[in-house]
Amino acid sequence: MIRYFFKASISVAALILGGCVSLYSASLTQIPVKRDNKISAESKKLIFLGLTFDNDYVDKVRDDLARKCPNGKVSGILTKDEFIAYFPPFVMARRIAAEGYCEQNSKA
Amino acid sequence: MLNRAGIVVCIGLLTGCAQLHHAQLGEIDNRNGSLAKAKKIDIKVSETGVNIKELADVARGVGGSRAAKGISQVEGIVSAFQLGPVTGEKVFNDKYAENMIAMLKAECPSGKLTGLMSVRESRKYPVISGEIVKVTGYCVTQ
Amino acid sequence: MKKTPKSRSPMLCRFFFLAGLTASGLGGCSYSIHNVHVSDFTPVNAESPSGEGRVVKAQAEQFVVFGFVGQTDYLTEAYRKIQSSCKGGEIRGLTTQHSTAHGFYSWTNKVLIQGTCFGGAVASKVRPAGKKA
Repeated sequence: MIRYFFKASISVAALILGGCVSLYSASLTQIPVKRDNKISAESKKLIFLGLTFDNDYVDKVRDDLARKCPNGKVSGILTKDEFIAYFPPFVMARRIAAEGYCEQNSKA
Repeated sequence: MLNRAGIVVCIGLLTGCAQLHHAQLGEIDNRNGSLAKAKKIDIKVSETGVNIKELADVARGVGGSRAAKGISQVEGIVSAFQLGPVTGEKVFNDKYAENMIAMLKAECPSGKLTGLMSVRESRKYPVISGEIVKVTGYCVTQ
Repeated sequence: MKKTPKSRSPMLCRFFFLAGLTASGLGGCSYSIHNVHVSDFTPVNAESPSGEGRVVKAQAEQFVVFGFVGQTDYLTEAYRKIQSSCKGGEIRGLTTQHSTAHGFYSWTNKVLIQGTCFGGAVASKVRPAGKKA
């Protein structure tokens, strides 16, 4: 009985520590012909007790993608907005991830 | 209590309360005065959503105390079979927004669309709601 | 004092009503469309692409029980599928639909991506020469 309870607790703890992930929104832009140079960027914000005072973490994704593709065009961008529940309602997180293709020296 | 008061107000107005869930805007290309030659397009698809809890409340009100227990049991069973994340209210058809591309092509055969705004909204009435997907934009014809 | 027997028809009606309601609730699966995103189409200040293009679709799903899931890789799977359906071509006018099909203490998250492929190769199965069907 104690062993069963211990195993069940470990399983639940593993799930909690890993976090339950759900997708809030997704979007995809035009996919280019050339798909050689793949780039990605991600930004995460931990939320304690549901309190958050800004959403500036979102801008970091765009800036990182732009920095990884200097003098080029980033297209075929898949944007994921995820919610991660580590230990709701005390510890949660929001994650924005974007991946796309960098076209260097593409025509405007 | 505030939600019930809101529903009563909406009944009086008979227009339904509008709720915005998502809004996204694409690029707007107005170089060479494109928008002056553009035709505005507005595509809207919708499906009726049902709030099982409100439906059960109405059934309990109509059925009386004798039917209340049975209705609560049915509500519990139906809710157990409809678990999951919800935006707006639950609908019984998830294919109502699959023809957006065909509808956009029919509205704009040239395919030159700009300023596309995608909106996911709901129009809430008692028990039922309208789950709406709307796309608006400009079609450059020349 | 004789007791008048209770009429069974209202109880029978109620039973059939509840049974019908339960059956319709169980039989009618519910869904929820969370978001539909439409990307840009042909650039307005460019020549129209040659040909009408062909519509390509990709769908991926994720079955979730009690909300215990640690990733959203089904979206990446749909992303890979739509790209492989238009190899060497450009995909424009993409619509991304994110929805959920509800079930018994479980649900299925779905992503449907549709677009128009210009100039891409059609994926086809090629039988080696000399082999019979």
